[in-house]
Amino acid sequence: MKSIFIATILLSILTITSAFAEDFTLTQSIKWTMGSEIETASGKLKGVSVDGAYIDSRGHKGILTCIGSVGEVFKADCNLKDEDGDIVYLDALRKGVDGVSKMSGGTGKYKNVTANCVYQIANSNKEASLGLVTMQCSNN
Amino acid sequence: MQNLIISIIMVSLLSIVSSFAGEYTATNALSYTITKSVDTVDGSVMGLSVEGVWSDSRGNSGTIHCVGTRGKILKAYCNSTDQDGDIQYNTATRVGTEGKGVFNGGTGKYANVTGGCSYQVAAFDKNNLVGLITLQCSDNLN
Repeated sequence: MKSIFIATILLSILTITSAFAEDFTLTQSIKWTMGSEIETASGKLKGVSVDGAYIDSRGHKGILTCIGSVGEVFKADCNLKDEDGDIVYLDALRKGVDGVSKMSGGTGKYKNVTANCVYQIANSNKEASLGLVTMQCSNN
Repeated sequence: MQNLIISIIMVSLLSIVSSFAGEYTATNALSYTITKSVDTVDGSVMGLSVEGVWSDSRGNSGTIHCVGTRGKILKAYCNSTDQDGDIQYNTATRVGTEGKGVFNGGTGKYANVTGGCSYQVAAFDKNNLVGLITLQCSDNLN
């Protein structure tokens, strides 16, 4: 009886969660270019631009462009342009290989889309300035 | 009779499982550099070098570099170096976004490994020559 009760609660939680959040993943191939360096109160800061290509689990694919800075943390603002030319506005904040990201609308079909994401640098080659990024997102 | 049927089913299941034992998927992030091009009877052919990183569903990851040519067909020889420094030799042939890869041994754990992959250019940034490749592979690596 206790097991049935726990199972019912777990199933209810899963149902409620899936009703309010649509989970999806992105995989990105990125190449970065370092810019100039400045001194700040919290240390050295380098400009960085990132270009690449991506696919997501919703069946979309396209190219991505980011501009940002690298110091103690990596911060960037990104545009993801899909196969229809619609753009997602996304920011990224990362320390080490793990980061968080937020989708904040965009153009076309993404105009009112917001999502919170976590991401990982799955693999990178610093000599070639290349990275493979995996991202897990949940629509708000 | 019932035992015989059960035995046949068990043997069949084991055979199916073992035939899929060497199957895995991989994802490559690649950056392409075009070198020079020449005209041939089959049209223009460009020299190509590729650098990249990869990870696979078996928990391995590493770097890859390739040299090759691209005309109507892309043909390349590649070295994939894994997290242990072992190198797998492979070749790639692609028309459009669909390609085939073949493993031809290598160093360390890949010395006697054969097999291959089907692969797709899942996404590509033409301006920056950066591609995302998805692969479905099988091999005899133990």
